[in-house]
Amino acid sequence: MENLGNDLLNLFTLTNMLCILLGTVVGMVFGALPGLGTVIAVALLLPVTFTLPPLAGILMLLATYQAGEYGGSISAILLGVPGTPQAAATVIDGHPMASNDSPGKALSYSLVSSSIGGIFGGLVLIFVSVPLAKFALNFGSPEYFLLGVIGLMAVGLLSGQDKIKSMISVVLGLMAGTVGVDTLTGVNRATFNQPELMDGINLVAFLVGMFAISELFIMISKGLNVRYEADRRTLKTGLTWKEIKGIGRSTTIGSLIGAGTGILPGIGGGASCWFAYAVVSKTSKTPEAFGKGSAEGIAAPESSNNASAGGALVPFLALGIPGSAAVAIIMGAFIMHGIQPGPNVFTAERDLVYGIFYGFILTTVAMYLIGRLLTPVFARVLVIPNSFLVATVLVLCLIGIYASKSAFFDLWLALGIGVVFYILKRLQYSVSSVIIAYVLAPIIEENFRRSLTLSNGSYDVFFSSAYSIVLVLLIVAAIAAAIYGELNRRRNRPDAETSDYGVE
Amino acid sequence: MTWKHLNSLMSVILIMGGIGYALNLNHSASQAIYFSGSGVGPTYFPNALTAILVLLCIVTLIRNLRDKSPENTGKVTTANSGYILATLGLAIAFIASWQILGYFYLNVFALLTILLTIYRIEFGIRNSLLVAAVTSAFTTGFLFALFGKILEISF
Repeated sequence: MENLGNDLLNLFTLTNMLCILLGTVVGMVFGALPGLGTVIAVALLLPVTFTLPPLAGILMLLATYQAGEYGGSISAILLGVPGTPQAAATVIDGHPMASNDSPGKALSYSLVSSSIGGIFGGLVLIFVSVPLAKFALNFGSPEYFLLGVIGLMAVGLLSGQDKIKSMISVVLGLMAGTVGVDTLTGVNRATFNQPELMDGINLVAFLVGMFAISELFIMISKGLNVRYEADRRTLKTGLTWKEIKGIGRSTTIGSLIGAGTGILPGIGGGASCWFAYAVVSKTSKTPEAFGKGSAEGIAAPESSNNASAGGALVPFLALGIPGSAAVAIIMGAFIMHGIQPGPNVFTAERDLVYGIFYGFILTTVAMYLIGRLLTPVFARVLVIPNSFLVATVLVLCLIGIYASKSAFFDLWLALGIGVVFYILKRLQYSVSSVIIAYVLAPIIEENFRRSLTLSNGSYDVFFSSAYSIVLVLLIVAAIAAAIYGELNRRRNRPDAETSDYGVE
Repeated sequence: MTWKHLNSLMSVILIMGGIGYALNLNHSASQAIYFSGSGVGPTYFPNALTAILVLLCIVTLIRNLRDKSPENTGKVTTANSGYILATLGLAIAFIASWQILGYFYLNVFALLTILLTIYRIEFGIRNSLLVAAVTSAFTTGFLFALFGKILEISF
């Protein structure tokens, strides 16, 4: 109880509150704007965390992540265009409800269910990550290496349409993560005689180039002077108790599915919201209402994508494995502050971890309050044409990159990365796989080398304990499942190979 | 260019990039101990990655060459490619000008004004320029107040 008091005292500081506020507003705006989305918002705010205490910086990114999940539903409901991939299922019932009845009511269902899902995800984070971390203390270097490989396999094989291209993306991310001075021997690796690369590729330049600059090119392709017309009749958000009770079942199912799938690396909110929608629509007492503006059809995917945010933090904090691109960027903030997520962080950085636990719940509360107050304002942001957004975000990207290290080299690097990843995205390579592999590369390599050093180069070390055998079996099962899935996909759709943008 | 050509070209570029990475890596590490007692030196893991990359790219290349679907043989089209190139060119000019001449905020104002004028050119040059100049002045002023005055970050 005494610890809880201290944890809350550490949490309720002015800096932390302001950071949560800023993160929530930025996340909601970026989430609402089609084309930008949560990941770009988190990437753009990453350089700001340099100047902040670790807890404040990480809470800001978490608030952005949470609020972005709800923000995506604003454009999904008002425009019929999801602001984020996670809000895609919300369009089916959110937009009809907004058109037929009241946009404010549809947004209220989204906000309330997102908040309940967020709280549920936070509770799962608190109650699951501690025992999981305690269990993970039994692991040695071979198990950590295998865990890292499982994380990569899950991301590479479960996400994206093209498994081989996803695996190439994983390898590219790992290769990028090995650039710089080798920490064990001091040898320069793939620095191409550039002193700026001795510390490795600047994370901010890499992220902003990969996610933001490449996305700006895609936004330009889609049209610069597209002007959305949002229905702004009644945007005031609020539900009666009876209405909240009406979505209780779908919100519970959505939260359970979201938190469960969030824990599994590589699946994330995008898939969980469709899964939740399918389950709720099939088990509803009024299945005929789905697709025509059903409140349950909004509540299920929205609670699911916010619950998955909390779930995704479980393997990240307990095992050091990020399950999604946004969490990988948050891991970048940890690394920049010299903190390595994983079971040891629970003892080495106890205040930080518990600050994140309770802070995550607080970010959900902030999302609810700001959502209730400012949703009408965010709805107005939607009418800003892409021409203004592209120009302004481009400048913000360049400022963010320069501010991180004050090096012009990073600006050139980010621009080059932006062009390359624009092409790779169009060819359906998986950008999420690249970034997750990039942040996992040092952990995987270090544990791989340490394991082989301990075993004098024998690969038997990866089969030396019951844990590692189970992990190896999981890897084999993941590969088998991916091959089976790929064969099935080809059998059903033999002509589906290449399409335009590789939307993840 | 068709999607097939672009896919093949990308696979070849990735293979060449992987080989270049491995060559640079092994050259850089040539003065150091290649192998520790366990046989795992600083180049072991990256070289293994290169081998996997080359293998996967060859698989993609072969699969792509065998794919005769209409999607793969269709032409690659990029809507607004002129705007993309203009944005890229202006971003390069902006970074170069900022690096060589300095005057960050002046460069920001110029970049935003030119970009917005080009993006809105369909509304007429005078209208676009006016809107762009006003928007850029406001945005640059906001950035100066935020970074220059409040956060005291110098560019």
